[in-house]
Amino acid sequence: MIAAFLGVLGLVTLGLSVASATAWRADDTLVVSAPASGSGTLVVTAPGVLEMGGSPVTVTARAHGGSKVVLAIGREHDVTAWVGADPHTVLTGLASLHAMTTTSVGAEPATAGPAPDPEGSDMWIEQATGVRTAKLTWTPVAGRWTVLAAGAGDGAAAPTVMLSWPQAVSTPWLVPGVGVGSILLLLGLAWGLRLWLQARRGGPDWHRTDTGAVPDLATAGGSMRESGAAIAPDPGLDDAPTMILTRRQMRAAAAPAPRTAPRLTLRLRGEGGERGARASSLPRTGAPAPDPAAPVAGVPAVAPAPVGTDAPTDADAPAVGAPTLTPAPIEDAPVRSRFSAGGWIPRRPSTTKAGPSTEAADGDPAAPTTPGPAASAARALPVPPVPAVKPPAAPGSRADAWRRAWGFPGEAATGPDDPVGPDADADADPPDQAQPRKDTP
Amino acid sequence: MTAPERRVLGCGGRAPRRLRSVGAAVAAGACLALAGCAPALPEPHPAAVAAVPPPALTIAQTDRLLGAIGARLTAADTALSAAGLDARLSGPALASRTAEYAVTSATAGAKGLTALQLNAQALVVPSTQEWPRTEFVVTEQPDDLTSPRLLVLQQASPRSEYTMWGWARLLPGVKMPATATPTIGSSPLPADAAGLIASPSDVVAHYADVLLNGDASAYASTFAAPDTYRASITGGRAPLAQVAAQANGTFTETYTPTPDQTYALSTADGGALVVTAMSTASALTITGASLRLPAELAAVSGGALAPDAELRNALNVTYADVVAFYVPPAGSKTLIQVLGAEHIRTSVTGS
Repeated sequence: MIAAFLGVLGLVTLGLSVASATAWRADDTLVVSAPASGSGTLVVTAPGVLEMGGSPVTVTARAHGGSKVVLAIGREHDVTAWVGADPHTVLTGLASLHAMTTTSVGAEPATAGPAPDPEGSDMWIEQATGVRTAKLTWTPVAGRWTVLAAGAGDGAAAPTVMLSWPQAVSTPWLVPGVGVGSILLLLGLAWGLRLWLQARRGGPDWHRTDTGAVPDLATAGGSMRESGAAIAPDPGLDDAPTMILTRRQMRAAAAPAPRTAPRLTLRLRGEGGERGARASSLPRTGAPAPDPAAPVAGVPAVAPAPVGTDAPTDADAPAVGAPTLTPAPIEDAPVRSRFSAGGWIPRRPSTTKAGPSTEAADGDPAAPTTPGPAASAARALPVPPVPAVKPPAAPGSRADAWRRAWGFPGEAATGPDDPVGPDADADADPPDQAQPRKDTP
Repeated sequence: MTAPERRVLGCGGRAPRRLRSVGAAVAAGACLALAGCAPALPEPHPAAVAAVPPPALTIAQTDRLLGAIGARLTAADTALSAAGLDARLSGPALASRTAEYAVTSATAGAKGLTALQLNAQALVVPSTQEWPRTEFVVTEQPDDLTSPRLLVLQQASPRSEYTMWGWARLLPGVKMPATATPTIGSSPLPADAAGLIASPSDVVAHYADVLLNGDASAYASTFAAPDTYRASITGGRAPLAQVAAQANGTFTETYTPTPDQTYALSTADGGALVVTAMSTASALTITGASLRLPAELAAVSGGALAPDAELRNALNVTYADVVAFYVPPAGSKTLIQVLGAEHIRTSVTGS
């Protein structure tokens, strides 16, 4: 729409500016005429009239009646003397840009006899004779000069006299108009072309991505940066919405990561080496993972911390988290995020299906798969692994994670490197967070 | 129709009136704006009327004029017929040329035409707005190596053409006085102009007296010598006086300036170039003898006299003369000088 508007605007501007220099351009000549009038067959100009429009002047006379017309330029006094007492018309000046003012002199009708014919007088410095029309061009020189136009021959009458001068005509709008018009037109065309290409390709050929030093991580409770908070993962359903974490969050998440064997390595600035990229929120989950806290992971992203706090009351956790949750499903969940409507919508891990089918998540306590019952089972099961997997992480790490998540200096910066339960990581986390992007396309 | 529409369409409401007044104001404003944009109309700014009239003819006009005269003259010379010659010749020139055609025809070319070369060497253009207008032209030397001619061109009235009124052969050794350039023009002087040693009409009258009386004239000393023209005139009288003496007859010759045929243009030094027409009448009477009329005289008798006719009583010959003078300004010690002259027999009567 705007493209079309721009294009039309450009065209109109172009057209107007060109027209201003062509069709609407002022004439190169100033032309004035005086119709035949008055009695007699003679028309003369007042001194100065010939020169008033510039130089040179072109005089044209058209006969009315009669067949011969004579134009002659002579000194004012000579012309006046030649005309003598004969009735004649004097052109005295301009009435408008196209007409002249006239004065009739000697109103009495011409005496009988042939009309006076000035042709051939030695006094004229320029003269022209023609049948019905005569024309001469004269470059004014110093002095008082006038033109004498006479109709001659049978039935002669005063001719119509036209004077024309060249005039300089400027076209101030041409260049700027064409420039601006061209730019507008090109803009419109370019825009239109792009739209057309898009339409042909069937959809947008690009989409936004926010990238940067910060890796995008999806955490269960994370706020969606791109799609806005609008998509708040239903804690009950899924804890693995794709999301982007702040660096701090990531650190917080990474710190406790108890397990090693990251599937994906990320280089985190400042931390130096590679890190269990799994950094994700796993730690959190990691902690809970063992215990019923697992479901906690599903808790709204924002506050893993609270979860942590809650951790003790793991028993309750199930209540908070969707009962459906089990570590297992979590694993793949993240993998499946997809793009739609300009935002990342976390794919709900159709826990049941995906979870089990995929990875070796089975190995985990999550194994129990089935969500519903799992919840209860989870409680039961997780317990044992917890201590097994990472005794250290449990309480302290959780608190630490909380602190980090909220920006408090965490004294217990645990070595991220811990090779601890890599697996736990893998599953619990949306490890894939980094992946979603790759997947989506 | 909605109410507002009705209001607008109706003519009586207040709103329309306001609209109309607003419209009128807008229109007036637009007109003013457009008028402001419109270029001012050119106005005639005629040159001031010169204190001194411009030259009546430009050089180009003179050249064109001489060409026209020359063309007509050439045509007439070829036909040895003066028919149509009056369009471009007048006064003494026309009379002289007409006589020359007759003589040339009668003598089969033994007596030829006066060579007239119409290429101008110098112009003395009148600066005037009156008529008649007279312009002097000094031509180049003719092909026969006779002296250059001083042509007198004249326009009698606004609607008449310039004609060659007369010509004079410049006398040997004369020097034309300096005159204003053609682009400035020389002011014409009336026949009774003051400021000269003698007014033009007086100069002509005095010269006629000198021609008649010779050195006995009171004015003889006012004219510079030598004057080859005067010498030839007085010298030409001797043979006829001798004939008269032999035939118991008389011989008289009178010189009469033609009235109103004296033209003068001022020179650079305040003097004047004066050209006048004059007629010379020679009257010869014989008694007891006969005179055989030469063909060249019979030719200008208008057919009244046949060639070789026997004249027993009288022979009257009339000459058309054109004489040009330089008249110095008043107070000058310079003498009046005859610059040129022409003397052509134009008519003969006899019995």
